[in-house]
This record gives sequence, structure tokens and C-alpha cells, in this order.
Amino acid sequence: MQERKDSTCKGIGVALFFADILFLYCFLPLCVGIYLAVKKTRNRNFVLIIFSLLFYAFGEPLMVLLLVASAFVNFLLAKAIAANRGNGYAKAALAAALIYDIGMLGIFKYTDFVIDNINALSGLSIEHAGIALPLGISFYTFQIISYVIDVYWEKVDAQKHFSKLLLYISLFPQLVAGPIVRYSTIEEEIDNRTVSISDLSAGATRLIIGLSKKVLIANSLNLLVQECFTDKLSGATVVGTWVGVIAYSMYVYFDFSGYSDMAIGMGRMFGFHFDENFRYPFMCRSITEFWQRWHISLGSFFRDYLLYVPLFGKRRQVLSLFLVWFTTGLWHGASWNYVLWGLYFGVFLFIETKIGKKRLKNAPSVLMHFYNKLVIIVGFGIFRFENMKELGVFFKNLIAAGGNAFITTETCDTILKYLTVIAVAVIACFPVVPYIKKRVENLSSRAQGTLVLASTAYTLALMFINTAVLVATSSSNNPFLYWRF
Amino acid sequence: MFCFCVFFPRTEESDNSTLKEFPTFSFATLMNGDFFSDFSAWFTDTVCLRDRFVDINAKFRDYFGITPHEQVIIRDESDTDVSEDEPWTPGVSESDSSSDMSEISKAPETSDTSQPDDSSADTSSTPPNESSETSISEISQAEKPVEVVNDVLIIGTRAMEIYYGSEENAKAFAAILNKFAAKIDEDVNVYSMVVPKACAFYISESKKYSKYAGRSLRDINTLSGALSSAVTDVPIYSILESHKDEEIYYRTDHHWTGLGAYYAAEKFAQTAGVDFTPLSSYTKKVRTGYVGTMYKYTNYSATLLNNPEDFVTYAPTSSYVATFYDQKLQNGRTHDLFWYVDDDHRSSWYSTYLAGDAYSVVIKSGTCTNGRKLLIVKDSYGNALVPYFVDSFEEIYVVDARVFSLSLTSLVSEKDITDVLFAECAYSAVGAYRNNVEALTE
Repeated sequence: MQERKDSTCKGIGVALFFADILFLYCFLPLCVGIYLAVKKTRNRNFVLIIFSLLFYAFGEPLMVLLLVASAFVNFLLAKAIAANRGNGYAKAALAAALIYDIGMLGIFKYTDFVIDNINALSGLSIEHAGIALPLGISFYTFQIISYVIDVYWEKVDAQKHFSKLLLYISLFPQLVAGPIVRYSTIEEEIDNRTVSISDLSAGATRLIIGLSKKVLIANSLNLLVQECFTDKLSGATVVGTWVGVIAYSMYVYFDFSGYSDMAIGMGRMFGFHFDENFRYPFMCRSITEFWQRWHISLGSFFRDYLLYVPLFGKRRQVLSLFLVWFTTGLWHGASWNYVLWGLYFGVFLFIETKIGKKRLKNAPSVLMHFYNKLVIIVGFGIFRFENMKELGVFFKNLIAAGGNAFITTETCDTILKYLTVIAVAVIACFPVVPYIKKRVENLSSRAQGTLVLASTAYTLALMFINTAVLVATSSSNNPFLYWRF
Repeated sequence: MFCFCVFFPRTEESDNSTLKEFPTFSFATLMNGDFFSDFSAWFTDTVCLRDRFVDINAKFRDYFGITPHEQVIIRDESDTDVSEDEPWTPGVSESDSSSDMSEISKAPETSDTSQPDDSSADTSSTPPNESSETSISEISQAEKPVEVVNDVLIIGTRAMEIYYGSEENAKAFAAILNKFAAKIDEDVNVYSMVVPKACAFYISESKKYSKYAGRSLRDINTLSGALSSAVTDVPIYSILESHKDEEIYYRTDHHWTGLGAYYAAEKFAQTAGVDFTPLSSYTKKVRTGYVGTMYKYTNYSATLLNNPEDFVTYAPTSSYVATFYDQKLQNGRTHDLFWYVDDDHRSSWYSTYLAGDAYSVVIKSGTCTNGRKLLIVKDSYGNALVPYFVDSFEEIYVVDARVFSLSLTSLVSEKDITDVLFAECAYSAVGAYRNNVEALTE
């Protein structure tokens, strides 16, 4: 039951993703077990590299070579940059690296998109190249770009050992679906890290929470979304469309943040500390704040490497903004609706900067929240419908101009059928756990002990249900939404 | 958990689905990733206690919210049709020659009887018989193509398939029966019994599909109206309808119950003019906790899981000898009409009748000496009828049209058959099953 098939999904192996029994109960325990058995960090790195490449090969046997090749090319060029500081060769090496990296990404991801546009503009009928999209290429390409540019800017030293750079690029927790980890974040930890019991415990807990977000909440929401949007919206009511798109927004959040949680959790189990990628984005007061809480690693990547690079000069702010949001949208998918989605947010961000921080701060909370939720939710509608016709129908339905009923008993039935799911999802959007943690700080140590036991039992119960769901739905795979990037 | 998943015995079979098999290793499959994805699927599918996990997931989904009274399960066109997917057959071993006569051994699912297309309704309006059936071709041009939808419905706690039907296919089936009757000796009686599916009587409550409620009757009437004088209709629709508040169809399985079959058998015996043993003379056996085939087809709905039903069988008390043969009527072994279905195959209890559809059966009555010999040509619905005829006919031949390989025409003359009953459900009558019957009656 893949969410939808489109050209960007071609040829992606679904094997061995995190939400998979083989991965969770075979691959991961083996990896952690061997990792901990081996003592020296150097050997541990070796273990991680082997497992990471195995992990990648499981999904894409041939493309693993591309991954290694990309790492190697950038390794050499980064060394060239470091060796040639001060003279023009450094810049040339940087340019070469960027051309290679972006070029690879472009070829594998955007060839068919470009062909489609050429066809549309020129009336030709060039056939699709049908190039399969290698797993995680959008993520590891950006990671490697961040490394090379950081070397050029002298923020980090060029890595002398290829294996260590390969470790950074191929590390399996964040390889497939992010977060986009900066080299500077883990530069130290590549050589120096320890794993304590609390690391293992915290990491495992994070992993299970992330898995639950994906398997229990996101997948369930997806079922609701599919029921709301059946038949390309032909029968969808107005209320149904709204419910569907709200559910879809939450689905994307739980799906993606779930995977990020799993990545962070797994990294922790190996002693790495990745930065957070999501910080309760729906708690935002403005769109600006939303993008500071959503897919933080991507936003900061564009901010650091694209926006502040004075490509168009300091005065050409609009053009820079346009470029950033154009590429943000385009990164998400090789289709115009994604670009539209990016630009859509760019517009609102621009408006907000024009209004000014002070005025936004003083605006009434309710109004702010209502406004930004509306923008976000409609935005996700744009995100979902790659087909422009369907997108049009979607918009018409939202404002009850599509000729469909406002509400039917079927819609009511559907909402009732997923009532618990919706309730749990909405509650989970709030920072419940931090809130509880704060309140618990003042309790007695005995109470705290009980709480720890309770939360452990809760986590284990979650894992049990996750297992059941994964076993039961194995044939109807619910692949992660963001892995086609 | 690691040890559990890796070292515990793999789940060998699952009643409710075809488990993924261990993938074959080759360089090609390794390179394109198929081996790994199949391996992963196999690993997950065959986890120990798999069916328990499936149940837990079903119950978990039940907590999603308030389950509506009517649930429509929309199934992909690529999903297997309910009627085609034959459940496990007890006592059938992998090798063809069943030399092992004594044991009832657990056996892998017999999946070789799969139909090429679904038997619920035909899409095309092309003439079913290219030959001289001009009346059929005329009609087929007029009629619009029929929808094919795989949806399954749950109303309250009853699951049912949706019968769309096709009048022209009903006529086509009748034509085949007519042809057969004309071919064989005119002293032989030919009967047609079309069993309506559960939806005929229980779908009127549905908000979405009640408009199809009348289709079963429509097609049954069309079929009987198209029968020649050489074929006698056995009208069971109204009889079943009068008993519809009794347990005549399973709620969690796509078959009818022993009781439903009894009423139909009674009517047949009446039509055929043979003796018939009333229900009170049978031994009633009740097995509780049945969650049948529809559990899978409703995507493992907790509604069915939480509302199992009783599986009631009526075993004849009089003596008989039942021999089970292969599809060429060779290699027979004797056995009771009823077979034991173990607990692992919790959705296949209907296979207790004649061990499902894998065998051809010959029953010699210990009590009846009226010289009548019955040949039943059936799909799985016919199985439940058989126990009620052991006192009515001296000899009974039971063959499944989908797997039998001998010619019926020859069989009738060789074995001195006096009565031929075509008993199948409405789906089969208007579906591809007709091609099987045609092939056997050529």
C-alpha cells in the first residue's frame, strides 16, 4: 500500500528500512552487540562502516558503489582544498566537488523532471531515462556538500583518513532519511566517544518512540488520509477534505520526525549526539518559527550555505529568498507542486519579515496560531497533490466550490472510525513529554523511581505493539514518506 | 526478542494467507535487490507466532475509533478473489500419489487450483460461447459491461462479499447445462442448483450496496428460465430466504453452513423424488470459536475476530463407505466424510467437508438400494450437501469442476449415473467456473 507511485519513487528497494522486523530484531542487535564487544573506537568505526555499507547494499546492491565513490571523490577534493589554501586551486577543487555532488544528485533525481519540462515546452516526446533514485542520495549529498564547504571556509579540518569520512557519509542511522548531520557536529565524536548505559537506554527509548510515531500514529493517519482522498477526491466532501489534509499534515510530521527520532536514538546508542531535527513544529506562532522547528537540519543547511552566500548581493534579498525556497521545494521532489510548496512558504516568510518581529510578537496569540495553522495545513495540501488537476479539485473542495457535498454520513463514519487516532495524534503534537519532565523534577526520588519504571513498561509495551503491527502489515508495506529523497 | 525472531521455529503455514517463501538466491536477484527485499519479507512473514501478532494488530486497529455498523473494505483489483482462494486441505500431501493411506497429515496449502480471473462477475460483454449461441451474442451486445469490484462488506458482525452478477453469463451457464443434457442419455436426470451468496439475504441493510440486493435472485431466475426441458431446476432461493434468520450462512466465512445446505438438500431430494433423512436423525457436532475465511478478506477485521461463531456439522448416522480419489478417480483411500481440521488452520474448518476440494469422492450407501446413482458437479458450496444424500442414493460421485480431469459425459455412461446435479454458488455460475464445466462436458 505505497502511498502513491510517482516517477521519483522508481526503483527504490524497500528492504531493510528502520520500520522492519529484520532490521530491528536482527540487524540492529547484531550491530550493537558487536559494536559494544569491540572496545577501541577505531575498531568500532570499522564495525559501523561495515554494517552501514551492508545496510545500504541490502536496499541497493549496486548503488553502494556510488556512495563509496562519492565519498572518495569528495575526500580527495577536500584534501586538495586544504592543501591549497590561499591559492586559486582551492576554489577550483571546491567548484569541482560541488559540480560533482550536485551533478550526481541532479542526474539521478531530476533527469526525468527536466525531460518532462523540455517536452512540455518544446512539444517533443523524449522518453524518460528511467534512472533509479539511489537511496538517501538527497541526504548524503547534502551532508557531503556541507563538509566540503566547511573545509573551504576553514570551519573544519579536512579528514585525513578516508575511512573516517566514509563513516560520516555512510552512517546508517541518518543515511536514508536524515537528519542532515553536519560534519562539524560529529567531527570530535568520530575519534572520541563513549557509550554508557544511559546512552544505550536513552538511545533505545528514543528509537522506540520514533518507531511508534511512525508505525502506530503515522501509518494509522495514512489510512485515514487515504479514506478521505479516495478516487482522486471525486467523492470527497468539504469536511472530508479538510479532515484529510489535517490528518495528512500530521502524518508527514509523525512519519518524518519518527524517522529522525530513530536516527537520533540509534546514533546515541553508538555514542553520537546528533542535533534535533524537529522541535514540536506545530507549536509555532509564526511561519518563520515553523521553519525553525521543522526539518531543522534542512532549513539550517539552506540558511548557512545558500542564503547567507551573497549570490545576488546584500540588497537582493528577495532574489535570495526566492532561490532558497525554490530549492527547498525542489529538494523535496522532482515535481512542480513541491516547488510551489516551497515558494508558497517563501511568500509568507517574506510577508512576515516585512511586518516585522515586534508587530508579530504583539499580535494576539489566537490569531497567530489560527493563521499559521491554516497556512501550514493548506501548504501540505500542495505538498500532497503532485497532479495539478487533483490539486485544483483539492482547493475547490476546501472552499466548498467543487460541487461536492459539505458533509455526508460517510464522512462522519470515517471521522468516528479514526477518532482515537486523531485524538492521540493531536495530543502528541504538543510537547507532552517535556511538560511532564518539568513537573516531575520536583517530585520525591521514590516517585521518580516509580515513574521511571512506569515509563519503561510503557516503552516496552509500545515496542510489543509495534512488533505486532509490523508483522501483520509486512506484505502491505507502508514505506516511509521521505525516503524517496 | 532477537533470539525469538531468529532462532525460534518459523511459522510454517498460515491459514489466512500465502506466506512469503524463502527467496531463491541468484546473482541477478542479489544485484537488483530483489533477493534482499524478498528475504526481508520472508523473515517478517514467517516469524514465530505470526498469527497471534496479526490478531494483536487487528485488535489494535479496533481501538482507532468507533467502528461503524457498516464497514466497507475496499480491496485492490490485484487482491485475490474471496471465492478463489481455497483454504488448506487436510490430508493432502505434496506428492500426487497419496500412498500414505493411514495418517491424516498436515500438508501445505494446495494452491494449484487458482483461477485465472475472479468468479464474481465478468467485465466483458463478449459472447461467452463463440459457437452457435446466437441468442446469447445478441443479448451480449445490448448489455453494458458489469463492474468488477472486490469490495467486501461487514454489516454488524456479518461479513459478506458483494454479488454484482451478470444475466448474460447466467444464460451462458444454462446453455452449457442444456448442451450437456442433450448429449447424454435422455433417461439421465440433470439438475441445476444455484446457491445464492449470503449477500442476497443480508445486504439490504447496506447504505452503499443495498441496490445490489436483487441481483442474486435476478440471475438465478434468468438462469432457470434459460434451462431447457432436459434440465430440472432446483429452486432453493425462497427456501433459504424463509430460513434466513437461522444460521444458514457463516458470518465470518464465505460459505453457507451445514444447516443452509440441509434445506437445499431437502429440496433437491424432493425434486429428485428420493428418500431423505430428516435433520433429527443426524449427529449434531458443534465446534465453537470459528473465525473463518472472511477474516483475511476483511483485512483482519477485529469485528470478526471478536465475534467468532459456532461451526455446526450434521453427520449421518447410517453407514456408508466414502473413498477419496485423485482427479482421475485413481489412488483411492477410504475415510469418513468429515475430516479433522487442526487448530493451526483456524479459518479452514469448512474443509472438514470432504477435505475441501482436493479429492474426488465416491460414496457407497450402506442403506439405500434404490438403484439411483448421483453425480454432483460442484464448487466448494456443493461439499456441504453431500452428507445429506447418503441414504438417498445408492452411489454418489462428487467432483469439483475446477480440478477434475475426466470427461463427465463418459463418466455418466461408464458408471450408469442416473442423476447429475450441478451445484455451485451464484458467483461460480456467472464466473469463469463455467469454463471448467464446459471443458468437462465437451
